[in-house]
Amino acid sequence: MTTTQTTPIIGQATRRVTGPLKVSGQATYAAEFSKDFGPELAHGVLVTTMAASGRISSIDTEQAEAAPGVVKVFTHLNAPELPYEEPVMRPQVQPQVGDPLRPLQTDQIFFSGQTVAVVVAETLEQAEHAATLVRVTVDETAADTDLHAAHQRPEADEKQDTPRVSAPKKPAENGKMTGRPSDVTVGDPDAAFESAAHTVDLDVEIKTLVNHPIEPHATIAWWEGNTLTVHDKTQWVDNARHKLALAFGIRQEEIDLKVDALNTVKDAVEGVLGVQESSVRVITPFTGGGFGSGLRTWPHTFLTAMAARELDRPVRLVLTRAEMFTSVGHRPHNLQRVRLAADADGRLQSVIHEGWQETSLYEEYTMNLLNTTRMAYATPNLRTTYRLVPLNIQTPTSMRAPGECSGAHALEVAMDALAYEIGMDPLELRRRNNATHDVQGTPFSSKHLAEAYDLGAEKIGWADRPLAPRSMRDGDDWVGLGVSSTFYPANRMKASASARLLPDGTAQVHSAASDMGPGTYVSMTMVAADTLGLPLDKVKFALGDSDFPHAPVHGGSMTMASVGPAVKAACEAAIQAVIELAVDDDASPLAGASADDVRLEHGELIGPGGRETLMAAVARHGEPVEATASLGPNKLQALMPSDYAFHSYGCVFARVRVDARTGEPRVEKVVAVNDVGKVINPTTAASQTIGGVVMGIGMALMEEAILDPNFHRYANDTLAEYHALTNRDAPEIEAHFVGEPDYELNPLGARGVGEIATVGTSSAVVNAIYHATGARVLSLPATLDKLL
Amino acid sequence: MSPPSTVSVTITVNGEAQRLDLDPRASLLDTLRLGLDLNGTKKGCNQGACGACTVLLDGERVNACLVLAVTCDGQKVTTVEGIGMPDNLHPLQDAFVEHDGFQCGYCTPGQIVSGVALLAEAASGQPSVVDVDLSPDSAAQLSDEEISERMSGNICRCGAYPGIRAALRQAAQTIQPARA
Ligand code: FES
Ligand code: FES
Repeated sequence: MTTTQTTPIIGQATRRVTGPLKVSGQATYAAEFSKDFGPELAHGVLVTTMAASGRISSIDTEQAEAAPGVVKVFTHLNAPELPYEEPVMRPQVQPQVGDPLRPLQTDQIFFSGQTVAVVVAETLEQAEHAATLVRVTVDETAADTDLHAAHQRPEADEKQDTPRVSAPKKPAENGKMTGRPSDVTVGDPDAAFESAAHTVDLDVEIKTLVNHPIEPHATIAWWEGNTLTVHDKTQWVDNARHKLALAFGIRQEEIDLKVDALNTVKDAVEGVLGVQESSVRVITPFTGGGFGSGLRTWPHTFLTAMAARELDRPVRLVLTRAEMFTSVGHRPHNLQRVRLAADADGRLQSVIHEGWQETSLYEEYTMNLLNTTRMAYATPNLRTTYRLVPLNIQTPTSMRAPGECSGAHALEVAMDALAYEIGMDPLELRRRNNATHDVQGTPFSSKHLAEAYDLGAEKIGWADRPLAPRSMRDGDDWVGLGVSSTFYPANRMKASASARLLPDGTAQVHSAASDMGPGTYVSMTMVAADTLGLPLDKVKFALGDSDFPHAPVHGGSMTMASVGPAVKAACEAAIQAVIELAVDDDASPLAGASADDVRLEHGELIGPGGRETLMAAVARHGEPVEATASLGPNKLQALMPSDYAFHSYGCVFARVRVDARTGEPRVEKVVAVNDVGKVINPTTAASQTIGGVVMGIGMALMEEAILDPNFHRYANDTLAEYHALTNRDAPEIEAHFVGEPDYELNPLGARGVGEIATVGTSSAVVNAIYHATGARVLSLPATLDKLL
Repeated sequence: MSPPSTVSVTITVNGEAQRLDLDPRASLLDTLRLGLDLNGTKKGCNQGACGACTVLLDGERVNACLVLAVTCDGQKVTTVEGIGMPDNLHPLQDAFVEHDGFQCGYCTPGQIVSGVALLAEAASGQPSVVDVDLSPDSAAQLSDEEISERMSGNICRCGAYPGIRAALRQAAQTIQPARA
């Protein structure tokens, strides 16, 4: 008799299966695979440039090379030329226009902090010391990092050498929400704005924010013949594998992965082409945060693999915290102008939202800055205008709810201002403009925002809030309550998984997914256990190995919605395989039944003539029963034709205190209520929400990478001066969920939590500060100098 | 320049005396991680700003990235591995799992070591800016504000602070810390 699970697991608050490993420090992150290598492991350290623009005129490595323990100093003068082949189709995480930075392949300098050399030595201390001895001289040209000045320059035309402002060169793939069209117009927004009863017109600024996972990016790479193995901090092992294969021109891998890029399942490809062994393998079982910084594969990863190949020994390279500011992307500095117009009843008549966002000189990073505006509220007239401003900075990247977070912030601050312009409760204004479809008329799949407003209002005590700002005082503090809606598109992409049922009564489930913290390990274990009717401890889910079945990027809040259904399908396929075996097996109580008449219930196979547990049938078979499955759309769901617009919705309420003497703002309480479809694990979904709120408070009050206007370099490039929220800054946070499973999106009904958790918090906080003080902060962060 | 000579020291790590020939530039953190393969102690900033590297040095919490290993001769270091391993977790580690006081887990060992030290500090009456008159034996009554203040040297970018506080609150009730 084997154990079965008779009660549901999905939807039950469940502890992380990785918990004991993490709390004892035994979860192995990329850099920590150093333990698998002896003194053979060499240590790489980057050398970066101070100059922000120009060409390297000389690079003196003599002293560094002579330093004790130094194995080699790589520069653009001696590094091998790498093929860096172009993929057939670029993944969504990579800018579609421009070329990635390829340090040591060029003498050109695009930004301050760019890598110009790699020092490899026997020990870390030796490499760090030698890196200080490399002398780099740059023939400098004028650099520009001033978004305020640059965004006002005329738009680029073909004749200009250096375009200053431009619309995205490869805009929306279609009119869908995930596209980034330069301009969208519905109705006559200007005329409607001019004739409306109430209007607001705000300029909003969001400074550069940096992802800053606490685990720095790190790579260990080694070659065995032509086979490259890499431990890399990443949110997408499959893409890292793909990129490494292309970079080193590993053809076999490329064939495999070209097809992969089109989302055909890896296993199928390997079957067809007879490819048995991968020549690149990326293994990253644990990722210590990322929030987007691990979506792409960054230059240091290629450089580490290059050094390992040249030196024919394993090399380990870990970015310093300062390098984390200029090596793995950031949330771009952006300027926005929002004009809203409403009639006397507070019904929106016109929405005009313009955004200017920095990008690098070598790549066009685009994000969904204005997409939220095109679906958030009902309006007959709307225009969004999106412009990019290339500057001497690294290419920005996705940081938790990229685009939406910044764009929705500006929109929600403007909604608050509009409510005060009308003299209406800001929550009531949102209720009145609650939309049933996006501006293109596509209905939402499942939306429970009104319930979220009700629950959040109750939990924060909104009913007692006086409308007037600066009307709540407690001792030395002005007190205020603010609200914001929150939105994030629900996405899904094809994912695969394998399920292996073992005669010992356990199951192994694999997918090349990642877990940077949300709890992929536990939620996938839950889905598998639930499907198989097994207790959690009988299921072992593994991820983070590019040899596992393909998974899409661990970003865009789509892991649960993509990998979850694949895990379920793989388990169902394995169950089906067992049923086929059992009906053919005379020793089974199911013998002779038609497979179609057998079903699984609570871990038991039930047929017309009898029943036995699933795992008893596997045990009798005596060998593992394995199945793989692949499920989901070939492209991002949002780019597929569909009758529905898929989004998650919610609201954030914040209560703040602002010290009347010093202007210091503190957040006292936050209530976040989200409709994310089915919640698979309430424990980790709540933690994700709380974590998103914490990051949002940081964005509202303190986070900012400050660019020195003279040196074009971040002046506060440490965690001591780039202020992330500490424990004492973090208020009481409640996370609630409303809504129902969204089966239009996927068979689990889950839409994902990770990003919506961050959207809306910064605006709720800033709106609460307005309510407390009467000061409307338009440029983040809302530091005390802006409140005095 | 001439190669820096190594320095021989003996450091007791988690109860085991380790004789080490050290590069004088090596931090205690890198010595633990790269020299002794004790990767439980994490490196987040290498600048004393994040707390991921927190260990106990002769019973007091320190940022191991700011300590040169050669200065630890004859001292006792306790890392997270010395506090509890997966099959034998310390009650505070259990409490972190129970209250989901982490997501990615990278800051977590530092939080755990800090938390263990915090309980001992409070029990021995060490004050904080929240309460300069903390009396001994008050570890069990630590307010949330007091816990947050004392845990603010450990940044959690995943934002698990409410869970961390809940775990500390629970552990403060149940653990009798050794008096310093
Ligand atoms: S690594 Fe030591 S404090 Fe951050
Ligand atoms: S759990 Fe990820 S940094 Fe704290």
